[in-house]
Amino acid sequence: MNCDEARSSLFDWVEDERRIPAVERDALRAHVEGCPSCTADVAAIHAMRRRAEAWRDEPMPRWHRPRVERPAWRDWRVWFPVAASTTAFALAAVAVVTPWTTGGPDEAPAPTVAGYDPVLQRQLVDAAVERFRDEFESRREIDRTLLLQAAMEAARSQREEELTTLAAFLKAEMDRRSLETDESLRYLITDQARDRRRLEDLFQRVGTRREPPESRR
Amino acid sequence: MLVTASDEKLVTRALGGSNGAWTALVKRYERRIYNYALRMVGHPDDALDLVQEVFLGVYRNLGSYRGDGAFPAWLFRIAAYRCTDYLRRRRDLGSLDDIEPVADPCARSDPALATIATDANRRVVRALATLPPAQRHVVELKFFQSRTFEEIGERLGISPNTAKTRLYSALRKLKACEELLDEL
Repeated sequence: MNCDEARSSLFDWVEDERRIPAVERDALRAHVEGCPSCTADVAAIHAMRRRAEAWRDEPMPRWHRPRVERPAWRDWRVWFPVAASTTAFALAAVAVVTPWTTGGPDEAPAPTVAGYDPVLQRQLVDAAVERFRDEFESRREIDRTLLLQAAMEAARSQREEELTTLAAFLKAEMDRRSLETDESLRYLITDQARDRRRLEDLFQRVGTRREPPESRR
Repeated sequence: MLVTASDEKLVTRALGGSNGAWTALVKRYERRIYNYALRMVGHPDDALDLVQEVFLGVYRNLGSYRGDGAFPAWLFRIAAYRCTDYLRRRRDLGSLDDIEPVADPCARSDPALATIATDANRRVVRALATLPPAQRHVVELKFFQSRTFEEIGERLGISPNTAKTRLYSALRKLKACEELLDEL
């Protein structure tokens, strides 16, 4: 075995000599023992292996880890206020509605204390519910009426605005037309006056050539 | 009982916008990547820059990770690419094989190495710094990541025999350096 042949198997020999067939292993051992160069290579492999095994991972220095860009809806600052206000509203609604909706026939009897009449209490609650419903209905009716009034008011305001605009337009149109009429009349009058002056002028010129009927008489 | 989420689950959640999953993924591997980078570039500050680059690269390419292989292998492929690119930029040379270390092979005077926690680690970093990057890659994969020559060849795009030749060349250079002489 020469050095090149030996070197092709040196790593296997160092790492796990069982990977090498027994005959080749013996030849390799014999070569390495008699070859200073290959002996030095084996020693270098062992030394480097020891260095690698002795390596202890260095602690990670402080650094700014890159961050992913999250979709906006995943940001709690976006959805949390909405969720919190919705939850608060739902809890408030439950707190208001629960006293009126609980108390069905399957409900366990309320504990009795001195001076406490469950039937009377129930009647009072029913009366309160009834009042609440009446109030709610009347309020809803009032709201509906107010809404109608508001809509009518809005329609009336809009109509008024439209009428005002129309009136302004008509007035402007009438003004424009009357102005045109005045101009026309003025023109006509002026024109007629001019014609009359021309006629009189003509009569005068004609009169100077012929005697007027009074002078002939 | 504390259940650790798999890499694939963390990747899926990170892709969905979970910062927690992404941070967990980074925390899980940042130290290994840092130590790998430290051995490859031989300088703590450069190694930290590389960690930043690697994880930015991972983040940008996370969508292309199909989950058909182990996440660490994918991660270390990106890290190896970044290290190679980093060393190329630093040396401003075209071919990795031609790159020779510019520093005194057995220099002990770099103050930045004083920040390395253990003397054994400092010796390794100094010893590896004597090697050209192509040989350093092979030493890293063989001794620190326990890869076979076939795997090293596949990873580096070379034949197993070439990988073996590079490794022997590296070992001879290391023998010449006093960092290992005390053990030989």
